[in-house]
Amino acid sequence: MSSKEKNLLQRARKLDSEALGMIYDTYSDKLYAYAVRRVGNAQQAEDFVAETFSRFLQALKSGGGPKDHLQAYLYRIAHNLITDHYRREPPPPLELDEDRYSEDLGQPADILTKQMKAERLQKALQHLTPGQQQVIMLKYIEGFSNQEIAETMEKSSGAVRSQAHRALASLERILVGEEDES
Amino acid sequence: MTNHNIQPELNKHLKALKEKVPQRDPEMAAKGRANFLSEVKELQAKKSTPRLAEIFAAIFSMSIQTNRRLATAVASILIAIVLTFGAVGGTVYASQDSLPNQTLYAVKTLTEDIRLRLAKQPEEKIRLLEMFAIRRVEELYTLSEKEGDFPQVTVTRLEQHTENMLILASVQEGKDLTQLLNQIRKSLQAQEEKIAILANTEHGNAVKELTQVQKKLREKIHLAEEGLDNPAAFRKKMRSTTPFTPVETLRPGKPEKTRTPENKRKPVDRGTPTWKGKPDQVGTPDHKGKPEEAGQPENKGKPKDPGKPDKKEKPNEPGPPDDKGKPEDPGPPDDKRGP
Repeated sequence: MSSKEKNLLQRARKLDSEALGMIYDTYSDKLYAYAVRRVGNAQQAEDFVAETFSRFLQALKSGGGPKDHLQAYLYRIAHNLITDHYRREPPPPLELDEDRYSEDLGQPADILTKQMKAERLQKALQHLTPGQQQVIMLKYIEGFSNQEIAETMEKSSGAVRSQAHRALASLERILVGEEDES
Repeated sequence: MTNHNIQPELNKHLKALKEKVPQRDPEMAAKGRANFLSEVKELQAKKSTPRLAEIFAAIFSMSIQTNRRLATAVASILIAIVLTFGAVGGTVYASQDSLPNQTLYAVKTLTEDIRLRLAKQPEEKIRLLEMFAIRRVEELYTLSEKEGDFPQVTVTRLEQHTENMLILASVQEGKDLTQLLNQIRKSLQAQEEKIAILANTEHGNAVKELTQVQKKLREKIHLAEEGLDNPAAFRKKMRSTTPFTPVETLRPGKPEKTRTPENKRKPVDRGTPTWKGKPDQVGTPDHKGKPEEAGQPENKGKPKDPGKPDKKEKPNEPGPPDDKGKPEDPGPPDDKRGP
């Protein structure tokens, strides 16, 4: 944790508006991107961002919150919120609504293919365990290092590596199985 | 990112998802930021409210700087005020952020009970109970961050708050009932969601306890939903499952000081609301399972099947109040009027 971030967190604990505003500006877009990739819905992603920061604030108010690793802390809250969301709502079926893509035929084929792949992966991810989803998202999508993931998930780097390995294997099985079915 | 050992097809999927981020709506982003900062301001305002002792110190210091005789006079008056009101007020104020394992928690819960008792309208009481339920969940959050320990008093009070919201709503009619139940359902859902998140981050025994709390909250949400679907059945169920004094009697007044074993065991006629309460020893962990304003059902923890009323109880005639029950709210005296 850099001394700048340490200082920011120290000021945030005193509910300094400027510091909290800076924290919001630094992380809200990243958290939005994380949430929108997980849930695929802009409005829901905004709600998750808002709730994440609100919880962060409540934690600070009650003398809690992150001691260090602010980013890890915020991603952890966002992950928990999203996991809980999917716990209530069962994940959608794996198959894509191909008709939806036929409306976008004006777009180049490679863009459409990418969109379909992204959505397919998004749905496949929801069939993994919450921990596996988290490790895949952080490692391969958000580009976190094993150490950063370990801080976020509160696990050792070794545990993160083996979980990532298992998650990839499961994901491949799901995607291959889906293609075989279709 | 090291994707060298990933199957090419999977890699393509990952890459596609990585590139897929719709542009964030700037208006929504700005709105989110503004909301966050306004929440910050609210917290700042709450935190910066000066305590009586600080006001006293400031005024006294000002007086000393201007005139020694004036200082003595001001100090005397302030000491008198502080001794009569300030000490109590300061303690009450200081207790508001206390936790169940702290001495001032008893003051916090007592203040809540008094506020509840002073509220006249059921809507007002329900709003207070919602607020207290939020406090209990916040306490669980704080305790989990600090110690990972969940005192039973918090869990029990949370359950009492939520149950009493429904009981208070059940005596309403028509639009009022629908509105209150909708409000309660929304509030309970928010708390249940928070507990679920907390359970997700906890380990060991805490998960078990929190899952239990979550289950209870879900039961209450389900009850509120049933009330919206079928108000008559909901009312009947609330009556049959809780030896509760209807809302008309939840008025401020003198609490009955003593309870004889006879009147404790005497079944309460629903048509003649009777308050058998006495001030609760709030804040002490041993009041586990004691009711808040309403008495708790005897089979607390094992709610009766709502669809199957207890055969031992006659309709409109609830069972005897829990012998061990002590209400959270020092309630009003017996009200012999019918509903």
